[in-house]
Amino acid sequence: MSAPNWLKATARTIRNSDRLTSATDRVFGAVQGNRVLVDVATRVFAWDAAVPVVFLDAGKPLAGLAEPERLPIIVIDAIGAGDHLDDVLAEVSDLQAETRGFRPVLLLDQPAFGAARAYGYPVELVIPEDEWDFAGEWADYVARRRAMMLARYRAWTIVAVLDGRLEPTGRRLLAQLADYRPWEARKI
Amino acid sequence: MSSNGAGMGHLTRLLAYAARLPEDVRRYVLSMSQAVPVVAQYGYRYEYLPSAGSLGMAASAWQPLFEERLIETIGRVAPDLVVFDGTHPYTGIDAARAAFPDTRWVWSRRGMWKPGLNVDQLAKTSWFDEVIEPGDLAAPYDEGASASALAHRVGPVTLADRDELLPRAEARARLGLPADGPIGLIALGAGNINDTSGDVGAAAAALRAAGCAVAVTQVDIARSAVGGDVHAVRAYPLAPCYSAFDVVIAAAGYNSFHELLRLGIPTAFVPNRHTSLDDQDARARYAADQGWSVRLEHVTVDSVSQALWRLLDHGREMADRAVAADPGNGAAAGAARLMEVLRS
Repeated sequence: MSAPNWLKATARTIRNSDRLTSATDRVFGAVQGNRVLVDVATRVFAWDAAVPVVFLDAGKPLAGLAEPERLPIIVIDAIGAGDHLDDVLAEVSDLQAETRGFRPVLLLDQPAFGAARAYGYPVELVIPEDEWDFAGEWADYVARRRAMMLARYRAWTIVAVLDGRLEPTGRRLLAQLADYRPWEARKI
Repeated sequence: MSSNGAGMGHLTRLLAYAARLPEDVRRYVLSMSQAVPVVAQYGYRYEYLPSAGSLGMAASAWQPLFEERLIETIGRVAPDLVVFDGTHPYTGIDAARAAFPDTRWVWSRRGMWKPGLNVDQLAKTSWFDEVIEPGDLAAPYDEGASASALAHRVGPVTLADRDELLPRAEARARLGLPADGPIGLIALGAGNINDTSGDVGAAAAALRAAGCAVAVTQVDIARSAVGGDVHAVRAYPLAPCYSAFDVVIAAAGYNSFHELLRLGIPTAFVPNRHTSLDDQDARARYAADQGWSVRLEHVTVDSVSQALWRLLDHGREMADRAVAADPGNGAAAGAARLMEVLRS
């Protein structure tokens, strides 16, 4: 089922308003556990249920694209990319421009904010492994950050970096988004 | 812990307190500013927490992210005291406070709010054990909601003091500027230096007409200058190098305003009226009314030229008047109060 245009417009207005979003969050909370009401709310406020609607900067390669909030968010896990980070960012940018099908959010272990800003990509930064001196394992700390990013950014998946490039499986998945467009459910 | 403002003010005030804490106090910075790596040069460790603005995320969606990250960081770092510098304590600080009740919380809250704005934030005072208000030289013109609110008030807080100003030749060498001739600094944020209908372009044209070389704080502006005669100055902190300049044209944010006046630099202030809360116009008006600096209501080649002639003739006297009115750096008193809260 696809929601009518007036309902989409209403939902869009609500999602663009912090105050109204807060109110609808309370509505969602109130209907939790009721399968029918949750289904209705999902259709109204996230009409392409395969991709949660999240406002997050899409990056400069998609400047001017209509409704970028409908595109899936992908965590680009560039921890350990080191000196290859510029190459990774260029690869992500090229892939994004080709597919116009995803929004990256970077996970870095180096404060390369300027490099990320050049592409307009959001950044999460973790403590580098060689500076870790807290209780617990660094790997667990990073794993928890990845879990947080999947939850709070409502990210679709994580694509890691291997030998200075996006790892092949993840890259193939992103490439599929050029014509596999789950946020345009009727067209699949 | 600093929020993300238009400039470096939040981070710089925290560094000013930190520099004056006893040596055995471990400092750790959590910031929403992407400029946070500058704290590493002081030997402090840091973490970055993206702001809603930097993510392009709605505040309602960002708040749970903020809360989760904050609680994780506080739990891991286990600070005895957290100083939050910002004008809007985010929801989530209350939850972190409840999760770690032994941690003391201090709100470093600068004044000069635009009248009638941000009033609801004052209720969040209850989340903190203390509120420190870094003083404002323009406080008599402060008509904002925080002006009459309870706070522990200290003098204007800056990272650098006048005795830290480098000799002119050394400052110019450090910034890579020509040793000779007058130089004017434009610190107005982004802009097109080749377009004299904009603030940056008009200021540059006026400086050139007055016989001054032009320096800017934005690398992109210098790079785009036709003729390549514009110098980019990239240093943090820049304040000790202000002696390199004969005149400065700057926005009237807290940090620039107090550094330039306390350090005695002839300045024309251009109030940024697009800030959400900071009443830069009141700040610039007060300084002009005291004869400390020039206020530019509108930036045109003509208006800047007039300001420059005035500053090149009388700027030294004006700057000296500002220095004479300086009550001293409030950073030491702020740091001392932090220690009292820590020990209470």
